[in-house]
Amino acid sequence: MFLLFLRTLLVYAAVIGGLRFTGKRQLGELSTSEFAVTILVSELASIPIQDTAVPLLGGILPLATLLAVEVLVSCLCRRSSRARRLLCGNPCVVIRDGAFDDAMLCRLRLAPEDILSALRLAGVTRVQDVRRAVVEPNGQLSVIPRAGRQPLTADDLHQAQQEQGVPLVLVSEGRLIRRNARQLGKTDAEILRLCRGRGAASLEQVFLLTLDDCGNAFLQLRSGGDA
Amino acid sequence: MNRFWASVALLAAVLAVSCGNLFAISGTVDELSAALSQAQRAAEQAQLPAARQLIAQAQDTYEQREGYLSAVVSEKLLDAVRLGFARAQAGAQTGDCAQLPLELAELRQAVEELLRVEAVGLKNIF
Repeated sequence: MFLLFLRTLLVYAAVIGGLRFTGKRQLGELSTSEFAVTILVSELASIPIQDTAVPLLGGILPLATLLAVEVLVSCLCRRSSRARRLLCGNPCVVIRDGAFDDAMLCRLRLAPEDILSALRLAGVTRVQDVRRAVVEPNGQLSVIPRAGRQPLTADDLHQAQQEQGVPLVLVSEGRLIRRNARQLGKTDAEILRLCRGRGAASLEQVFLLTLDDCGNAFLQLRSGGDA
Repeated sequence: MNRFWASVALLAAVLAVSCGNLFAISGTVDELSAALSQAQRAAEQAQLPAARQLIAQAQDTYEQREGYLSAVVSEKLLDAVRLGFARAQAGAQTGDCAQLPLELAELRQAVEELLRVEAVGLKNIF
């Protein structure tokens, strides 16, 4: 039992290390090869856990090989459009100006009902409202509605809007995140002033404080009150 | 680019380790096989003391390499080798000159199986 415990920890560390090595692209499963690798990694990782007669290297070596080859393939796809076309495929337009492209549907072995289902998931109920619908190489459907069916934006109404940035966590459960504070160019005193201005006497009272590069802040106190 | 070269290095390391492993197992199997062949010939000629010595020598060699083999070879294959050695030792102790060569032949086969499963060939690949 203890052996199983140790082997599981080692395999887990190897899988985490391997997936970190391949990076965000692998986690995003953007293409066919990444999807295949994800399935294979899970199968390979389970072999030495399930069968203690199999050496640990019997699971880790194929894992390392697979992930290294995946990184090389993704580098090749980045450099060569031909390789990308061969390995990942091309996006395929299935709806053009409100009408199905039945030749493309036939080629993709998709029924119109499949596309209608994906349209509903995208919040579109009428095919006539779609300018383009594209089946992406990862199998997802992208929908571009007609201009007249797109939601109004502040620009359309000529309304000025405050810009939104990417919020960074400055304080989490009473602890100051110095790296993010440096990135936003905020000193400890400024952060404390920000907290006090929003009802927190000290950092310890703060559950979460976020700030983006446009000056939008969010603070939640540990007791649960928003600020 | 760093990840590219790290992948190349990782693949090269995996290849090197695989080749090194094949070479190590091949050396071990050749050594054990030679000793067991000699023991088998000695048993066939009813030279029991020589057979016992060669079997003990082969077993020592195996035990020295067992740690490494446990890390790279399936336990089921190693169990067959251990069982073979136990049977061969028992046969050598009882002095059964008819049975001992057969036990040694089986043991040799179990030892050669360690290399056969690692050998690069169409049969293994497919």
